[in-house]
Amino acid sequence: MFGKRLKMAAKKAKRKKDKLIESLIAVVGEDAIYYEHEDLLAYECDGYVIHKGLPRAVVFPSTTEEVSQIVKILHAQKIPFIPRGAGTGLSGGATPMGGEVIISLVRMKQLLEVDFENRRAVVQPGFVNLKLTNAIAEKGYYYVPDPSSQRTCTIGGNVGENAGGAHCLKYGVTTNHVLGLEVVLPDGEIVNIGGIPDMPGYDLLGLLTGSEGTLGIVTKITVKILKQPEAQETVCALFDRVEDASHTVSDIISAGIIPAALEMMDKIAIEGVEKGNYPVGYPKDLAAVLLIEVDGIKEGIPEQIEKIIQICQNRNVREVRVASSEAERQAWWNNRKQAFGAMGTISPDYLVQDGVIPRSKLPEVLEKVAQISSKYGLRIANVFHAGDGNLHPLILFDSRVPGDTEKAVAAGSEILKVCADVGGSITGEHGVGIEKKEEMRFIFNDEEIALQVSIRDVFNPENLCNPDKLFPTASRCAEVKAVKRASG
Amino acid sequence: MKPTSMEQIKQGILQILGSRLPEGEVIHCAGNHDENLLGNSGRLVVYPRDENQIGAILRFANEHSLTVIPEGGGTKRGLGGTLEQADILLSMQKIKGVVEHSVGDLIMTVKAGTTLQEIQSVLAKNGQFLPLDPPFPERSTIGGIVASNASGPKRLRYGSCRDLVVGLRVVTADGTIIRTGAKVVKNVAGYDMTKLFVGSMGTLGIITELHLKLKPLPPRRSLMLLTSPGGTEEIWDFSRRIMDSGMEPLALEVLNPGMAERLAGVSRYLLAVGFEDVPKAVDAQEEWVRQNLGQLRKTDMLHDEEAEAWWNRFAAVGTAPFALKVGSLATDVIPVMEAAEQAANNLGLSIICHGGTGLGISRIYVEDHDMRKFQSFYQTMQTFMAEREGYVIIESAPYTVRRGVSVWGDKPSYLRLLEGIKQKFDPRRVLNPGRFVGGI
Amino acid sequence: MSRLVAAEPETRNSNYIFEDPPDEDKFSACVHCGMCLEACPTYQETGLEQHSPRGRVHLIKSVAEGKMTLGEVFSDSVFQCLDCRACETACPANVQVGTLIEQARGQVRQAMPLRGWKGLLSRIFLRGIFPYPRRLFFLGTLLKFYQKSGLQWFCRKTGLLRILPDHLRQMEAVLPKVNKPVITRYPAVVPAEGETRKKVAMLTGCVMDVMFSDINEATIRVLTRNGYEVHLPRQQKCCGALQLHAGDREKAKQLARQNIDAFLAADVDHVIVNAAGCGAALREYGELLHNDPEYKEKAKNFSEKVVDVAKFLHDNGYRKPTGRVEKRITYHDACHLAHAQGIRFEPRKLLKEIPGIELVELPDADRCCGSAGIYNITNPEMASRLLQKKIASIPDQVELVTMGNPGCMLQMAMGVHQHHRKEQVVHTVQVLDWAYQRETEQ
Repeated sequence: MFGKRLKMAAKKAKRKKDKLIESLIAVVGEDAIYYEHEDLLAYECDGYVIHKGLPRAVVFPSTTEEVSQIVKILHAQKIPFIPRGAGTGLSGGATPMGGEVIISLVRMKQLLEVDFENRRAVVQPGFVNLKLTNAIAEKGYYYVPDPSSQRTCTIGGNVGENAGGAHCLKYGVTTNHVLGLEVVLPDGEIVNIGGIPDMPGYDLLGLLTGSEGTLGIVTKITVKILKQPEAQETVCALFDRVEDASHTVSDIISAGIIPAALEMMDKIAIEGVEKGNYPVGYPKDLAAVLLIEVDGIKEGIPEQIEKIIQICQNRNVREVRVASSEAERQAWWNNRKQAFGAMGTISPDYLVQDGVIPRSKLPEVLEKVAQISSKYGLRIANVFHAGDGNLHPLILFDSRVPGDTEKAVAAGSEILKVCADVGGSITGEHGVGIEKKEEMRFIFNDEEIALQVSIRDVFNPENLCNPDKLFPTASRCAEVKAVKRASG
Repeated sequence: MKPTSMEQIKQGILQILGSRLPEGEVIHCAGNHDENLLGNSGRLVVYPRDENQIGAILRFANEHSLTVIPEGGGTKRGLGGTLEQADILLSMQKIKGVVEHSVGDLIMTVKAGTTLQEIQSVLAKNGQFLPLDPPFPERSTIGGIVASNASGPKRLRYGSCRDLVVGLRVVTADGTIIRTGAKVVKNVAGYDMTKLFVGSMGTLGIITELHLKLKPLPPRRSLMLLTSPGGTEEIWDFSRRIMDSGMEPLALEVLNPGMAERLAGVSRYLLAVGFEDVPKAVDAQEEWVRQNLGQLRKTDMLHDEEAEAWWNRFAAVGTAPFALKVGSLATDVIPVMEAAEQAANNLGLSIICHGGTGLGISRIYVEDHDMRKFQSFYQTMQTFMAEREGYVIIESAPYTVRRGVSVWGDKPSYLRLLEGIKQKFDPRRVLNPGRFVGGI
Repeated sequence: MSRLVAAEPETRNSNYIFEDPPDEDKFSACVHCGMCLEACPTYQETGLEQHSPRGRVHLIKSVAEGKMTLGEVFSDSVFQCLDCRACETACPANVQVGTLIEQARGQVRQAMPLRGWKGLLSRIFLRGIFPYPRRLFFLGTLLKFYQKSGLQWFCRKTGLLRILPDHLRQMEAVLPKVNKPVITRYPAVVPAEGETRKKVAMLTGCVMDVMFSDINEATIRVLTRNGYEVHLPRQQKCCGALQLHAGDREKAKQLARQNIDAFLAADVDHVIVNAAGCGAALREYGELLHNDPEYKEKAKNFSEKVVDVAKFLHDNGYRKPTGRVEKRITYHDACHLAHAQGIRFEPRKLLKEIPGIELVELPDADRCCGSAGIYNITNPEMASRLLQKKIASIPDQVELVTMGNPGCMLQMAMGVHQHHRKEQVVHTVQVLDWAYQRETEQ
């Protein structure tokens, strides 16, 4: 498959291969492994760049059996490992703590089956999210979860993180769309779970989805595919006051309308996207913009749009407009979906947070975020899935300025505390990873964390599969307690 | 040390529950034998008032190695388990009421012993509803519905319990109170523990409080009953076409002639197609159906309260103590129903059954009380499904039948994981021992 | 081993020791989001981080931080890049990956100069021949002799060509018929037909004018027909893109300065380019010479005048042809038009307005064909994989595959030949030229 020219390890002074590397090469071949120091550098982090760590090796299996054999070798030698998709995660889930073997699933990227009659598709974990929709669009079908990174992120990674997206307000997140999984457990055993709704037994499908690679490695995924809605309309509403925009969000939901998507960006976020690669020409002095998309039966849409426009007007909207063409709608969405990356145009670094709050608390929480921003002297742009109360404050900083990184991390943590305190959560779709391990304590007590750790122990008793992620470090004492309870 | 006499247990429990209330309201002795042939009852029925009392009872049970069966409305006694009686039947009926309804958030928090009907009537005042349609909404409690993952035909549009429950309060077997999820619709902090409890048949903990996702009440509801003068092909063909159109059916439920006779007065295969939306969208979809009927005939058309009344009758149909649930591909639903009819005919049994052609879930109720024939029927259906993707389980049968067969079908290859989870939550096997898959 | 990134500049440990290192402002704009991954042809093929845009930028940063050396791994990463700039289209933060790669290559080539036959060939062609029109034209004459004398026939028949590596043999098979270069045949100023609307200069190119002088001729005909006076400055040189991509920044800068002088002297409104790669390079002279105090401003002024022929016609007006070209065609986006210059709809519009033309979209039209300057010679295997994909995506029953870059044309012609297909590979401007010619025939 890989010819001379693409040999992964270009001719260079070879480090002596150790036994482990030899045995991994025996499984995947010379062309599917990296183990030299400089070859590993590009794998020292994922989309979360604040933490970096070097893996011991990166392997690129092509089949489930190869994954299983690799895991068996690592399990036997007690070497920790990390499954990795495209590495676009935002909480460090695929970032090594140091010394793990990364099992990259990018070569398992086939679309294995599409069954329109049963409305499902089977993909390998390395299959890119948007490619599924592209592959079935011709027949009018699509795959619902649409994280902003959908052009590059893999469905395997989506399952690991239980990815959301802008259109999850009405249709749910990844866990609501996964029907079945083939999983390599941390000891190398291959199991198949789910496939048909209500399979007897505990909901392992629900447990594994969003487990951030700590319970096993997903090697095959059966997902729901849906018929595209008959019609959709998108409204763009420009506001002079953030409060008006946030009240509009609650008003729309309270009026009995559940839009397919309801997105909001504030002034600084708008500044970023307008300087980015996909500007749409929002006025500079705008305080907030709302994107509201309604879909469903064609005949039912106009009255919902009318109602939405009316609500916006009641809340002093400056301008409200329905997309006049698919091109305009796409332009609005491209602009919105590039928001994180576009922060690169107004700041050398950013830290994105992912708190969730009850929608009705939006104005109150935004006020507190503003206070935190001034307390730390860092600009914070707000981009969010307002409909489901999922906030993405983007904390802008410059890692070259001494102390800035620490300040950004502290500000982020403080924002999460605010979210937790109003009954929300510390992460809606980005996962805990390395980043929010400690913040888990904002929403769970020791016993609750211990119980989760004990579930991990059922699958991953030696903590080899993506170790030291997801749970606060000091919960070790709680772990001991849980073990005692279980055995006592 | 297990207190041998029921009196000793009773005294222990009474101490926990306090004696301010009349004894009959907190505890009830069922005696050694219950009239209920479904089993899953208790020698002692207790009615705790809050989660602390549940915690204390479970600690007591743990200490004395007693078995406890939690129960809501008691509509699932025929599902799983081999016990005729546990030591304690822990009734949730006194733990009820809406804790919080946040209208603007479309979220409610409710106590587990509240019945679905009670929930709906509270929500309706604010123009919202909980989109679940399991059998017996007037008796089923929300805790029981979620623990048994009960569902109805409308899940095609609205999803099932796992899609609607966003958080829980649970008392685990050792009496610890834990929280899962939060009062928000999107949450990936830690493992999705909520899902672990949904459908866990009360084997991991006792759900005391639930955070639920709501929907606005649709301004217009409609139901069309279509029958096929020919065979079932037209029904499948229509189902396939509507699912492949941009229409958004609420439910696509096929009824066998026996069930159609009872609910629509026609002894033919019948397809119930529902819509819920704004009036214009419902009208448009009804029109689509009219245009695309093909060979099907419109037998009846109901709106709003009338449609709801029909669905309520539908939900009350499964009273037979002998019932199967089949999970299959959508494409296999009609074959499953036909195979069931065939098998029932061969055995001289009379059945009523229905299946969702958009969902892949069918239910078969055997009306005759013949245990032997029922077992043969179950076996025949298992053989039928063995060649297909899916499963057959016994959703209801007397405990004497359940003792003789594996009601949950074949053991899954990953049973050790399920056993491992049970072991972590309930090492002494206090809660509903043997109720679920593989005897967990 | 994991650590919090030190909150102080690490670039003081930089391993970039030569002039013109990758620009810190440019690489720190990358936030590692990964939006570029699937846009990158080499990542699509390999799935490897170091062969992705964000991976390359990460390594460029790593060298600056002293975590990586200017060695084989780094070299492999930056030289495997096609320089197609698809990542720049995908990037939310406008990271100039292309420029960073060129700067990195400059460092690598100085740290580890090419040796052996590769070094020799590179020196002969990139330094010894391409920059000198006369030497190149002489080579062209030799090539013409090879084609016409029967030597080509002889070599092909006798199997003498087998001494060439496979990919070069394939390329030999599709070499266009060599004509005399335009610059030696046309006057320095070609007058407009009718009233002169604007004065423009044209880059005739180095290889272009040897291999594709017919395209240059078509371009001149189309321009003059539309009232544009075409200047062909005699002192113009190769644009320097190939040298720049190969990491020879010094030579590239020298060529840039010569071209700036030559074209500014012509005193025209626009500098027209019909080769996307050259156009992109000319438009980036400002960037290339940003450290050159004497040429910095001049370069910027010059770059602003440079425009691709299709965009020029679209923006400045042209007469819609009435001659019919009855063809079902498709259009391939040359990377350096679509990604580097953002020119996508203008050529399509030009083509669609020709009577008789049916334009069918090419799936993934803006994915690199693998030509990428001399990439198909230096990295033949990757180039060939991309070409396979490209050829496979040509829609059925297409007669013409059009594009705006001669490099792509050679590559596509090779692909068509390899797959025994019948599509004709042509330049956008050639189709327009035919349409005008048909007018007089009709």
